[in-house]
Amino acid sequence: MIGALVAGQVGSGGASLSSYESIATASGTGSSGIITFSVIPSTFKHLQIRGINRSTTAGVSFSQLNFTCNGDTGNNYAQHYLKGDGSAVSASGYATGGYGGILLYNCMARAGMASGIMGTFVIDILDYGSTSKYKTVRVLCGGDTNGAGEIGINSGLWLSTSAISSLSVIATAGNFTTDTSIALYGIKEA
Amino acid sequence: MPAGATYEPIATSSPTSVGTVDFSSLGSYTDIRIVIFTRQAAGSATDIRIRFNSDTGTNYSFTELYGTGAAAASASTSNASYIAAGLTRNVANIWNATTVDIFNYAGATNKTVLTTDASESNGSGYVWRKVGLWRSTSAITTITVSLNSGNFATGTTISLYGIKAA
Repeated sequence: MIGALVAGQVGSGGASLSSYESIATASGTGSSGIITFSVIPSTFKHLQIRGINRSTTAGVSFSQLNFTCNGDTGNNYAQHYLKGDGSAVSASGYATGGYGGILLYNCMARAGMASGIMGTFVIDILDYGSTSKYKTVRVLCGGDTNGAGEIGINSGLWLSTSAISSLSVIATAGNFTTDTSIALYGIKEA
Repeated sequence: MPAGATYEPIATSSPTSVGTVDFSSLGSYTDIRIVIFTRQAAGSATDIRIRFNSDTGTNYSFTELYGTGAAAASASTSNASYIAAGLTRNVANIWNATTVDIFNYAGATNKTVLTTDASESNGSGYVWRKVGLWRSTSAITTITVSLNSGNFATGTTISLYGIKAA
């Protein structure tokens, strides 16, 4: 992940010289299935979203999250994924498919799982401020319940040259529980 | 507006003649990342294992996705006494690169981790991604990184970084 490349350093005075900064954090409310970051400074080169999450909807298998840019829920996204469920591996993808976003497969825990079980994900968004490039993202996500689990990697593409000004993580089943926490970080370049 | 710089170094260990490293004094962050660059001093290939709060009970599990260079596969391990984060070998000049992201390590939920591992050996090797679980709602106060067998080779570095959300 990008973070490994931008590990902070400590100067002689002890002040952090890290190029990795926290922008905002959002928690689930139990009554909404969407978390949006709408104040994204233009001073960074890349973004990273890190989160733990759980759905209010019953079920014992992990469900999907959807990820959108600038509120665009049109067929303007493409992706590929590789995922494993503890026994089988599968891979697929789509071009400008009908999901209206980039799916994060099977990384949302559900209310039927044991208390405290959370799904998790890290999303890297490269060169989010570019006005000449489509936007590329990469994802590592998964969850484990001690006996069942899902782990996956994704590449995603938003086919737009617009600078990203907002990002949304959307539950495809139910709402985010109150112990859901999703944080946005910015990474500067020299 | 941004809350300021984060992803800060917490501690680094350069172990010699030992197979276990403990980290305490983890600071006050949201997530912790461990960056492990290691080789085994002697013996056959062995797991790099992660434990929390000195818990050696069967309270861990993990699901993995990996490629061998010829095939992709997935496996899971439940009721384990550790999370296997990677595989390291005793091969001269060949080092294994592993990262472990620990989410919300001081929170009240069970603890979930994501790992990446590059275990290359010039002709044989693996690439891994794993999700792990520690079934405890306790805040993590110590982290143990160990080998299943043998010691870390001189030159190994294990570094902790803290990531604090706004």
